[in-house]
Amino acid sequence: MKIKELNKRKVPIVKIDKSLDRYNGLVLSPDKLEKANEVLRTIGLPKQWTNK
Amino acid sequence: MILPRYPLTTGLELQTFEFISEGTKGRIPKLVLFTQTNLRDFYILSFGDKDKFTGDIDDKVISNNGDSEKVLATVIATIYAFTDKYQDAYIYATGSTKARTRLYRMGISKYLSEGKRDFEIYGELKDGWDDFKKGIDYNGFLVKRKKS
Repeated sequence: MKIKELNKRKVPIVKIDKSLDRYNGLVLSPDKLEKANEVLRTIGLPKQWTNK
Repeated sequence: MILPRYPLTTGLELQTFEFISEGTKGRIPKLVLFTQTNLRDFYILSFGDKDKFTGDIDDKVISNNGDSEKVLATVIATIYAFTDKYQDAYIYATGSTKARTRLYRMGISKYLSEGKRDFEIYGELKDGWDDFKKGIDYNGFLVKRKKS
């Protein structure tokens, strides 16, 4: 596949750097995590998904 | 339509992505993180600048590097890459400030018709989820890749 064709893909071609895995699971903003948990507790997931 | 975007680097798990923003203020490393919560398949998207020296991330800084469109297209590309591997993932995004949440909303609005081809997109209201529409002041956003 040529570079031009690669650049037209919605799913990008990515380079791997194992050192970036050190960020996996990192909670960048505890406020955001708390907010997400609150959202899940109070309104849950969209009904369209839970009814599937 | 594929907009110009920056080359991406990621870890083996495809949960952390890095790219370099190049603009009026120089080269600024950026990180996009998909952090899993205690609910299975539910991830939070975080995005911010990476400190060149410590590697720490600042998700409150406003770079104003003059390349916001390209940055946004690159963040969207990370969502495609992430959901290519984690196809059942729900991705929750909200800004670290109201202004940033508004920026996210404007970004989603801009690419809504394109985005809805590949994703289910919801906006967070006080009492539930709304099928995302332009012009509504949502508190957060939830997306899930459509099955192809």
